[in-house]
Amino acid sequence: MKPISYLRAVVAGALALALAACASFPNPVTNNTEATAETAYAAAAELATAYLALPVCAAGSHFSLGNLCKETAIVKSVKQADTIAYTALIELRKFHHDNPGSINEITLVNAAINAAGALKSAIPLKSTKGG
Amino acid sequence: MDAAIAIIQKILYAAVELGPTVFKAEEELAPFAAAIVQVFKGETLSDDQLAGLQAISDALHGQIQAADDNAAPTSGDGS
Repeated sequence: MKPISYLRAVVAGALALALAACASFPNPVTNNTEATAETAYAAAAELATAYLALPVCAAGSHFSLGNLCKETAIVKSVKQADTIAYTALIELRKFHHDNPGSINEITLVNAAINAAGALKSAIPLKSTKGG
Repeated sequence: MDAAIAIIQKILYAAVELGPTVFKAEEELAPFAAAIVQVFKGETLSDDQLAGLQAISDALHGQIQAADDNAAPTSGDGS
């Protein structure tokens, strides 16, 4: 355990939260607006890559804080959720590029953020009992 | 943007829970921190800066999709 790593991770997350908060004033729509969705996706994707970097769980075992491993079924769910989230992000980018300053971008930003939330939800953040 | 804030809060929770074992956000999310400083100054991110953030998202997406979802379980007692 390295306390400094905890601190850095928390600081990084806090900074991401700050960006999300600062970019919450959508009029006029700027690059900061899209950055909000990029932040939400990157934060969820970062967590996903951390989970996917774990060794595969032995047969019959499950992810827990005492048994850090990835389950094949969850890996598939994470990849599917990531595909959806990334696709939403790409659609947002295209709209942002093609329609600079359009207030309608907010709808796509919200869709991308919700998809990022689904990606986050696909990852077992809480330890499972008896794993 | 309440949804975005809720997501980040949960990520913060995960960062504390998983901590140094698996989390390396301080490195890969560093460009976001730089962007935040500029936003705090009341400035708009440039196209290049936004492209930088997009590149991080692209890289993370690539890592996720490249993950092997059919890997055989590790040998051992399953504990």
